[in-house]
Amino acid sequence: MKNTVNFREKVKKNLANTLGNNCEFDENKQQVNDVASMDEPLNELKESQQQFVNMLHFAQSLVTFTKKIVSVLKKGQSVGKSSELGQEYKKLVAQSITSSPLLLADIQITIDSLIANLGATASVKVKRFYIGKGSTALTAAVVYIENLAKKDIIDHSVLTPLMLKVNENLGTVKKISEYLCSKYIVSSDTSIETDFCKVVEAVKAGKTVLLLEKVPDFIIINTSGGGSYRAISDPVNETAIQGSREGFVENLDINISMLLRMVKDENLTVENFTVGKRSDTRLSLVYIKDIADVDVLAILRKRIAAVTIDFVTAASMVIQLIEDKDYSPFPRAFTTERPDRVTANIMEGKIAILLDGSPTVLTVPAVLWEFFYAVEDYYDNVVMGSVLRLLRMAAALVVVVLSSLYLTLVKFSSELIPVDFIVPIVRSRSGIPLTPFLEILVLGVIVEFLREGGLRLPSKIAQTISIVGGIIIGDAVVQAKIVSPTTLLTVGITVVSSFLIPSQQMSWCLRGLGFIFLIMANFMGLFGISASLIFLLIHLFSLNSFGVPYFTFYGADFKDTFIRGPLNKMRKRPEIIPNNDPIRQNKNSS
Amino acid sequence: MKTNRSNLLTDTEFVAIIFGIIAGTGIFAMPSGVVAIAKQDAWIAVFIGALYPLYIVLMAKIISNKYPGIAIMDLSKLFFGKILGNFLNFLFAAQWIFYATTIISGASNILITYAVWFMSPQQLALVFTLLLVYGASKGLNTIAKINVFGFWVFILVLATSGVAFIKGNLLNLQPVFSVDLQSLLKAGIQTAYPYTSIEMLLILPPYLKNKDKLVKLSLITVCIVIFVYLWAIITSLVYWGPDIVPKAFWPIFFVSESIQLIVISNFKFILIILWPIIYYRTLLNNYYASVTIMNNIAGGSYKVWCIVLSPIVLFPSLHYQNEVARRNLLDHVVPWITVFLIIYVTLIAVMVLIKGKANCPLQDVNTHIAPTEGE
Repeated sequence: MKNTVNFREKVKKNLANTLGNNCEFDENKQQVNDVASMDEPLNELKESQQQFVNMLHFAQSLVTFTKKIVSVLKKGQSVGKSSELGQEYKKLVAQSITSSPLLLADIQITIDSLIANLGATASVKVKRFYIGKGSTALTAAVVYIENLAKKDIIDHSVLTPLMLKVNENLGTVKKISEYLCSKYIVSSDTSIETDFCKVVEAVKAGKTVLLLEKVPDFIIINTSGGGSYRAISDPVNETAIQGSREGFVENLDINISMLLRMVKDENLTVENFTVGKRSDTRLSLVYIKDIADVDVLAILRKRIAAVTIDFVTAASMVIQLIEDKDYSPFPRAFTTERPDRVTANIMEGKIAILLDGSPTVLTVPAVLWEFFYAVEDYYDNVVMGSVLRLLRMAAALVVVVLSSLYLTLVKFSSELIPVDFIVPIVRSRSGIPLTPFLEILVLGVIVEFLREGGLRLPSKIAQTISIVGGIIIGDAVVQAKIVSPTTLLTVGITVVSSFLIPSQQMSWCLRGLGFIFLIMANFMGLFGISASLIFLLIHLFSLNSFGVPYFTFYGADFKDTFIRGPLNKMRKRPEIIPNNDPIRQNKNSS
Repeated sequence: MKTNRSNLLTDTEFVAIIFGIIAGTGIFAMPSGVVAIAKQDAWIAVFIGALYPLYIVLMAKIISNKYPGIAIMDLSKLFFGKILGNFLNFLFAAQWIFYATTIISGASNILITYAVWFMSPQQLALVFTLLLVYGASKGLNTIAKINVFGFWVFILVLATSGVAFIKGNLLNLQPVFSVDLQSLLKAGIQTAYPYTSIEMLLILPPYLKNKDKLVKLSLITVCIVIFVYLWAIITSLVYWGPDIVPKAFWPIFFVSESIQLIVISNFKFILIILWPIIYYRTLLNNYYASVTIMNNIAGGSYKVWCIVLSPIVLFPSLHYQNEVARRNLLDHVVPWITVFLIIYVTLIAVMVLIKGKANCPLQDVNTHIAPTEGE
């Protein structure tokens, strides 16, 4: 402390000698006024030094940029077509704004640079006005993007107070930006920014920037939320009889706010990223800091940073860009539209990925079993929850194996069919021209046509297609002797079983596997089913989801895998998901 | 050898792999050969035959005391020099390749007999080989998980033969100790052959997470195998009796086929789907052992060796003709293999005792396990 005071006094003495009349230095006293008058020139010197350093950095960047242009030209390529050089040029312009305060003397240059960086000139609005009165009035401008920013907030919180309520001389105010934010701008979310690139990002996100002539700072006012968004409603693809009726929407901030309402833990963390070189889409990771595994987080951050695609419009695009590249049909991230599911998942140590503009939220890492869990498993009692879960897993097995087993029995191993069944089967198959394999294949393909058609059509026509397809075509193919009734029954049971699988992606995957099993069974009978099963097991055992094994068994997790054990017995978080806090509840909780 | 610690084998996985490589296809055929010699006392021969795996575990203990976490191939090169050591390692690998070919042939025979009469042995062998290459290329982590899964499938299949105690007759086990000692010893030697392949525990030490528990885990595995073999022989004897068992190729299947369920006319239907998983698990372990040893000898990429060895495994398996010829060949070759293994392992253990601890060159075996995230 003593050394700091001595050094400070030495500097002031030197400064006083350098600057002359306006500064006094009293060696005997420590006068507050003296300290203030000495500190001002010291701060000004520091600012000038910083500006000089900024200009040096800018010059360096300019030299590097020029070298890159020269190398591109030497290769014979066109400079104008290089998007990388275009991006770098924009950064250079941004750097020039902040590195040279002399340019800020003319606010129009700043406005023009901002508009150039924003790109969509037709939607960019600029409002120039004066703050204060008389000759000392300050020239200012607000810049925002129409339909992204809320004009009401701009009018009431920014323009009205600054244009009408400022009756003082602002020329003597030193830190004008902070002063205006504290005294005149009526907004609960303002910030002062010096990085021009961040200003551009903020305006693109719907915020408004207030520019002041001859002032190097930019005042950012949060006016995002302009335009209209879909209101929170029932999730379309995941209905629940019990449980909340809220589903995620396209607005990222609203989605994050839903999670914040459900999890009030102070360790709930939101990390923000931007993906898409041209779309600049906001992406957020939401997790609980003291539960989520740091290694999984590191992998996730690394992969998100490595995304170089020019645009993303859906969360499912993001997961394709960041998941393990092994071309597996199995989904490696859990997709949901329900905040309660995301909350439950992040409580187990998983990480939620939210994308602006997408109502689906991903949670990673994902394991095979969770695609067979429904949210109501935990809202029902133990018995019902367990029975329903077992039913779903049995249904998954049926989807994959039933058609191929039927084919094998009918084609190769009819001696294994009980006598009571074999007579009706043989009778029903008399006069059918197609082989059993073709029957099942044709029916399976027709069902997929109907299913896909039902997805694309408007809901009123989709109802018609299910009646036409399911009943009329189904009845017609039997009467026309294209397929036998037992084949139709088998395929029908398979289709109905696929409806029990809660996850659409897993359902598609299993239906595809069913076709593979069918083809193998056609050529190799029961061994074909076994070989396919072996291949499937190898594939599943070798899969990982962000470093976590996709298909594995832990004895401690048994009470929440095939069955749903009592909630008071689930004292620990699932071991299959790495986490830093394994204890979920105390032993004595009732 | 340097290993990636996060992907090492757990205790359960180690036990499952060793169990998987021992108790595989041999268990289905073993009762017929042993009962032919020792009649109703064939179950006693299981304990006599267990002396072989216990001997190997003892040798492993001697080796691991001085060289924990070192595979036998590296010790062979260390003590006998590169040329002789690699030659011995090559013979060691040849054993696994030979067993893999016989398992493919045996599995083809049993599947053609019971399920896929319309397929040729060549087609079955090709499918098995393709699955082998795919499975082995995924690394030891995946192989370990397949073994754990296969262990439970095996227990399930074996448990079905418990119907023998309901429908069989315990009097078929009597009179006890009525067979002469010479027959018992001969049967004991016969049961020693199904215990071969336990030498895998000398290849896996670098991949084991708890290296100090190698001996304990091996002993647990041997105990489980003894129990399983006892079960196989006793259930076969109880259900069929000592006169019929020697006449069956695969006595265990006969027992399980007697189960009757309401909807399924023949329980064999379920077993036929599960047997190939058990065969495949044993086959995969043998194939992995041969690939690991060849990779240790000649270096190179592990995945390339997975592909290179496949035709060497496929083509001989097509030439065993039939089950009788295959078993005759095994009866002639396996004793020599067992003798070689006893000499090889004993020599290594003796060299360990004589020379004591020395520096052993380490090799990076990360690619054998699985590429970890972020690498």
